[in-house]
Amino acid sequence: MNFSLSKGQFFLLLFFIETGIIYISFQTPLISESKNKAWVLFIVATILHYLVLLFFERYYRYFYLNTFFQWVYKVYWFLMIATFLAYMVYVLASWVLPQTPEWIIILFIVALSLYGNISRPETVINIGVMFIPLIFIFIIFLMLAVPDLTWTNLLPLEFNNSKEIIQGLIRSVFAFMGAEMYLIYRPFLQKELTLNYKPILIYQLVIFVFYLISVMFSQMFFTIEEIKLVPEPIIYILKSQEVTFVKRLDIFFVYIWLSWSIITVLIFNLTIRVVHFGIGKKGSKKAIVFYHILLAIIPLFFVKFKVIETMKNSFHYIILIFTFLLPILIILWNKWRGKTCIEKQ
Amino acid sequence: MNKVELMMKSLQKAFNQSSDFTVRQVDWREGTSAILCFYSSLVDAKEAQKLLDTIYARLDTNKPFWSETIMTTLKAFSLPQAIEHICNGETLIIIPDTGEMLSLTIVNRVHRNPDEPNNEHVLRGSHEGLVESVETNLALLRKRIHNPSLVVKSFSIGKETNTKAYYLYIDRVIKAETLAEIEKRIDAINIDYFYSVGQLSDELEDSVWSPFPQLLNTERPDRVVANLVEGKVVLITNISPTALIAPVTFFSFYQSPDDYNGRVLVGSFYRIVRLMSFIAAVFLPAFYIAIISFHFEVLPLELSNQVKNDVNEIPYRPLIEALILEIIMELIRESSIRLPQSVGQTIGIVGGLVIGDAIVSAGLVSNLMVIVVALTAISSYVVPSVELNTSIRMLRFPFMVLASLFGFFGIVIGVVVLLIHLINLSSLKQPYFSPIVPFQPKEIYKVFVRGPFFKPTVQVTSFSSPKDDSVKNGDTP
Repeated sequence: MNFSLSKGQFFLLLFFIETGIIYISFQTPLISESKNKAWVLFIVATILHYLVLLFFERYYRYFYLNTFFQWVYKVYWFLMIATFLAYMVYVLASWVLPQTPEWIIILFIVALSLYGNISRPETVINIGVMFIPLIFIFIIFLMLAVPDLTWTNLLPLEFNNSKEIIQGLIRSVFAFMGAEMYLIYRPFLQKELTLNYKPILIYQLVIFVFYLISVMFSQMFFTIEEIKLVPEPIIYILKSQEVTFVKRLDIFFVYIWLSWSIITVLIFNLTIRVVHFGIGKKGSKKAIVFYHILLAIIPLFFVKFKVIETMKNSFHYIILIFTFLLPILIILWNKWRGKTCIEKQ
Repeated sequence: MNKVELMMKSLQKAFNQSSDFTVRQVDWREGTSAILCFYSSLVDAKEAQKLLDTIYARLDTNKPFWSETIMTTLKAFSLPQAIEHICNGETLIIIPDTGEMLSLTIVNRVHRNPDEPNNEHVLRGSHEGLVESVETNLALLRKRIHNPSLVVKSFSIGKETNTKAYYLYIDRVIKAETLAEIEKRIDAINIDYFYSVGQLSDELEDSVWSPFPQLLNTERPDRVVANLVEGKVVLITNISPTALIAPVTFFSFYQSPDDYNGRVLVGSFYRIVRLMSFIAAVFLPAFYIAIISFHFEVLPLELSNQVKNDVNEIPYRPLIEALILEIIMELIRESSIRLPQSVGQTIGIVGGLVIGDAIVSAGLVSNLMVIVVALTAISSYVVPSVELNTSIRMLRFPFMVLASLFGFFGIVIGVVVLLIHLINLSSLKQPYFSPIVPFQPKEIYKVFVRGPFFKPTVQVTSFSSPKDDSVKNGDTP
């Protein structure tokens, strides 16, 4: 596969990977576990994420995946997408489409992914651009909730419970799911472009502000006890906003989130395609079609309340391993051996 | 039978004894004979006679360059070449004794005056339009570009019709890959009979089955020039006033010469209005159908009661309602195009007022649906390009069906499909959806705003991001 990325494209891709799907839901476990200090822990997690990105930037050349680890990651991403699809169906069924059969929704989303992924890679890379204005609209309408926010919910801050702090940090890190793709797409950045701390910092600030708004708003809108009952707090906040031109603002935002999440699914599948076919190879359409047939079938087994709840409660540990620990280990191992992915390619 | 008579016979045979083909024996110098032949339908006989008289006068003086004038060429006789000359409207004098032929290029060119094209009106600026004659069109273009860098290259299309066509570009402005690609595609054209510019368009487009046009059609010389200076290639033929321009982007179709003839702010405002009209034209009926069929709860209570009362009276599903009105709209449009202009206006009134009012009174469609379809129609006609206008009108039907099946979910699916398709498209292998693909954040504002007239810009050539920040996207009036 042959393509090159500009800085803008690279960070846009990363933004959609990290924010799609989980943006509306990661606040509930974070606030439930870490109580009032959720927003502070999120700031700490953001700093850790920035440091990890700097580490990735410095040593991305050493992120060489051998065949075994390629398959590990392909299976991980595949299962992750399958879970996401199940979760998307679940959210749509709860908020807007209670009667539409699950398989129809999965089929359509997978068909879109197939269409995007049999096209040239630039299609999936750039499609997110069209949804940037929608993200701004999302934030603007979220601002309508400001008069309903209780600022005192952010306090008091107590740091004497280490279990709460650790759980809060782990759940904050959930927001940065998919950060390992930095290492996958970094070699595709135009060769003459260099990334130092500054562009990464700008990206980090953008994603930080975007997420922090959602964490703080959720914390200020709901009490700790209330939020445990609301799995998608952002959508609920939008639902409770009264505007003159529409009665149910949340419906529009569920669909904005859906289109945004579809883009994330497309990008995840592109990543599998990149890792599977490698740089410079075109790839077979048959394999892509076969992969998507699997993707249309597997999520159907996950669309159950219990399965989704179990996954929601355990996913952050899996993400911790595959997004942060494993890439760092692979980099350190390869650095020790002196093997770089650039050499291989 | 002598040589002259034999040749005349073979010429008659070559031209299938056509009634407008004239072949005649004439006296030549020193008692010899020559053959005069031409298509009477193509030759300006009066002018040809004048030129012939000049040639005869020169012959009498025995001047060595007797045949050399602006409009004559002397060359060795060959039947295929003779046929080609005559078919091009030239008058041929064949001299059997010397084995030469003298061609007189006095063609009776039939074409309109370069009036303003009916489908591309502008408020300010030039009111000239291209016509069905390459010479006139080239004169209109050369009037605007006094520079030898404007290159005109000819080629013929149609193995049987041998129609002359031309491609134009500005040397040193056009990119080498653009020129190479268009030349490659022209070489690959394989048509027997060429009679419509649509055939050329089909041969040159990257994706014929896409609803989106990948070549910009225009009949305005100022628009042609604006594109030429941006490094695009223009194709014109002798049979149509339409010039085809490539490569183009989706957003080129939303730009009008009026944007550039007027003030910067005004031009920008109307460009934004036009782009917004795309959203209304494609999504408005689908959005209405989705709300009525699936998401009634988004409507505010007061409006919801009113809409409910209105819709409850209608026996059909919203999709059928919309289809009835949309098809009536298309019928009105088609009939007003085919009928004479005066009657066409009457049809508009009958269709818009009489049928519109009667159809609501009869309870076939609701008032709201009439408003939605009327707004959609107005929005679709805002596009300055006829090709894109028709594409947009067609596009709303699949969206309506998707909305009636799945509500907003169907619209989201349709939007993503549409975006993937647009991003995949290319015009002469160059990105059609530039500056979105490749993503150029610094260039996106040009889609909405017509900047001050300082420097024309050129289109990006690759789907990869430009490495140099100075590479600009198209911004064509």
